[in-house]
Amino acid sequence: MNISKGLSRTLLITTVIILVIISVGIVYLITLQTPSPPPSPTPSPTTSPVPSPTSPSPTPSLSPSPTPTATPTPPTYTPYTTPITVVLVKDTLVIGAKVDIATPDIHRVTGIPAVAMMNHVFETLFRLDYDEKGNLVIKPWLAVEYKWLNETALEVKLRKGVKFHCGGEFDADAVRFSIERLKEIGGPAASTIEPVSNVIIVDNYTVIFLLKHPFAPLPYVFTYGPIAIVSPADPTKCGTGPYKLVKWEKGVETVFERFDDYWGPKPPIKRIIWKPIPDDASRVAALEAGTVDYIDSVPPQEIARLQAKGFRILEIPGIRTMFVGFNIERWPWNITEVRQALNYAIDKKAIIDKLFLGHAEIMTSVVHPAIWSYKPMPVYPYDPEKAKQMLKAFNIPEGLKVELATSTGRYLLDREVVEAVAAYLRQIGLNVEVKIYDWATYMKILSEGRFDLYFLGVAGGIYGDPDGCLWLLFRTKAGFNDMRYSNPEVDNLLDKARASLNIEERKMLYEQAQEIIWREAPWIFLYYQPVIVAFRPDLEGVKVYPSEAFWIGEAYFKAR
Amino acid sequence: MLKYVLVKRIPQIILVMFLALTLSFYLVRAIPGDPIEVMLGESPATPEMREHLRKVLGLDRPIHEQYLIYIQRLLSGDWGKSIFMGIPVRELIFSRFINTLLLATCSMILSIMIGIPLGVIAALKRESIIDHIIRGVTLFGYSIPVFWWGLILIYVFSVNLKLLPSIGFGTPQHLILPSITVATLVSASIARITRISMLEVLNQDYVIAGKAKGLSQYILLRDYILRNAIIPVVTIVGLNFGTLLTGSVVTETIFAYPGIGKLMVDAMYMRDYPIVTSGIFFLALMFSLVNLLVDILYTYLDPRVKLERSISV
Repeated sequence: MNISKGLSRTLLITTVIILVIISVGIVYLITLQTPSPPPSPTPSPTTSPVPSPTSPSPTPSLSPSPTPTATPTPPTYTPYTTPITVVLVKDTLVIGAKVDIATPDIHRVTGIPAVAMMNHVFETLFRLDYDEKGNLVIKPWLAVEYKWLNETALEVKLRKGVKFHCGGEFDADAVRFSIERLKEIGGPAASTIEPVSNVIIVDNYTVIFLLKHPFAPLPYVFTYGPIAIVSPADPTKCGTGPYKLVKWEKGVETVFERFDDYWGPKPPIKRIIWKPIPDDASRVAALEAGTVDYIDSVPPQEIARLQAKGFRILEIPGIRTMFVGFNIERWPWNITEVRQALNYAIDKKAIIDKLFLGHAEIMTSVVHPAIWSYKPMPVYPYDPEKAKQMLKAFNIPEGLKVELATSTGRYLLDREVVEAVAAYLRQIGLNVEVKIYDWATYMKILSEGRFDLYFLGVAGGIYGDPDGCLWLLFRTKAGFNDMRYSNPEVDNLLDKARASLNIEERKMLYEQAQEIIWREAPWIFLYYQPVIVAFRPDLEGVKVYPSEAFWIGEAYFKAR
Repeated sequence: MLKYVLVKRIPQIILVMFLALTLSFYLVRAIPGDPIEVMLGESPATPEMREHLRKVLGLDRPIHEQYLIYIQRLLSGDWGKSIFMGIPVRELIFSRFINTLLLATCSMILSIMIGIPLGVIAALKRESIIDHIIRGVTLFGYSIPVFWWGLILIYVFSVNLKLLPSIGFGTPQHLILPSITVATLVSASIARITRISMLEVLNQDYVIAGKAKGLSQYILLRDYILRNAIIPVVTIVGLNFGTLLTGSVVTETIFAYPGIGKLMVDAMYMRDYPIVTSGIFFLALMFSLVNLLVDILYTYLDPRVKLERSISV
């Protein structure tokens, strides 16, 4: 008995020592966290082993609103009751989003919806918006106008009287600072302003962008979300937008509050809460449960059910063009007729009707219909017999082994679409093998050209200029030209259009390029990926764009 | 005992940590694709921009040099910065781990509270209708797909009954559904192990002798049967807890719960090297410590197990 007692005492001591080691480790980790996190608005769970398990962010809160107006009321937000019964007119919008805002730094954020949300805090110089015909046009935002001084110098006049959230005026300094910061960070956004070599400050509200080479799309590039203006004083927190960032908790939520000194029209909604919900079914359930008011990336098969339950759906053909690209360096994909044959072999309408339940649109040109210079082309009809004959005419052997590369989980129904394409190609006698890679590997496979066919969606037109849909994809050796497509005539047209400042001339050149590309078919042209969002029936005025961007600045809840 | 822990187990853990660190460092870099491809794959980046980014991230240096720099920084408390988020990895991992620890603890307590009584009852009433029902239920709990079960719970309790929040994090209510989801599987495995282990002990001579001696059913169960039957259960609990600490990706995804599992898996897909390597290092440490605790717990529960012997022999 004594022995066992002695033993258990030693045991207890060791256990205590280990527990102490663990807790010391935890305390060490806490103390290393630079600013001590403020208490989260919701009570922390009682079983928590440390005082504050939430708010890990280094930038969790901003300085309080400079105007002490009628805002000190505690938030009425309760996450899981049905808010309709609580308040008459809601002033908080909760968004359930597929992607998280991975960082509050606008120059680093990826994922267009997350960027678009952050654009309510950090604004761009120009903005892409619909005109009365529903086409995307450039509109003034932080900049009021632009003028080309010559082919490599763009003068931009800035808006006066714009305030940053943390004080200070928006001016030419902030523009130069932001552009230089972007370039320093590198990353995807920086590549779009690669032609900019220098930013010259003329006066407080005038800047000149000097270019390395002529680059006519530049004003449009300035509508691209990540090319946003940040305050030199505090680039990760402080912008000029209608909302300011009040809380960023990665993986949990990001909270935005109205900025009362905003230069533009004051947004009706006071508070926006962004909740990342990666799982599609959970996101839909969260909308049904009333946990969130608005969700993005709605799976097409859920549309009918959500509509029946009274939710509103907005769906538009997205800017992302979905296609199967050919490796043109490999036989037989270097033969134009073979590529055309494969376009005849796919029943795109059936794919859209059966997989997307009709909620998508067949691609009619490589330029998106909402972008200027779009020219509709005749869709290759479904004709497997013709496809077979064309293959026969070029002595393509029956049962030719074809590798169709893809990644999954990236695009809406990607796996299903690839399987359908493979099945159609098998019907014309090709022995198609679908190869699935994870995204990082897939990117490498594409850049090294180790594939016959590949499935991808590219949002080249994201900033609304046809140059993005064409030059980046079909110019010899361009960034997205994984097809290795090379046609000197197309190169010439695209280069000329890129350098020209005459919009009519550009339009004509782009139309010609679209025709050639459509005829030469470096892709199997499939469809535009639909952008589908769903929200409560009393929410009005949300603007959704083909790029998956959205604008809540004018949204409001109808009184009931 | 103390000597055993200090002399034998601590060096062992250090060795494991070193191996985990080295392996994860080299393996994650050995698989095809790198963060530059992921980051710039969907943008019209020029080769010069790729080189610039590579330099900024320090990926242009030889891999062994990167390794030495990494170890050096790790020892001085700098776990690196996330490539995609630009924030310190230590903060990320630590905050996510606390959330995971919370979920793991709740689900483990729930599992033990459900699993052990179920197993005990099933064993005591073996081959009765109760036993069959319990075995059926545990089989169900064991084989049910987690993603489906989680969604069913959301639909019942959040969408229809509107009792609990469907997703998110922050209040104790947010923990209930994820905990139940995780505990369903774990409690089923605990119940099954408890039952089998109890049955084995119930047939032992000393139990029959105890019964013959006229010990009350309760004392017999508490001091003789459970005391012996609990050892394999502790193993299962310990292993399950260790696994839960490394995150439950499916549950975290369904409930949008900010745990460490999803962080690690996402980092793996994006090739966010610092998160992967430092994360594996940290999780291996936690796993080792839990195992050590379980080993020590054995000697407490079963005096026949003497940890010292393993070094003196």
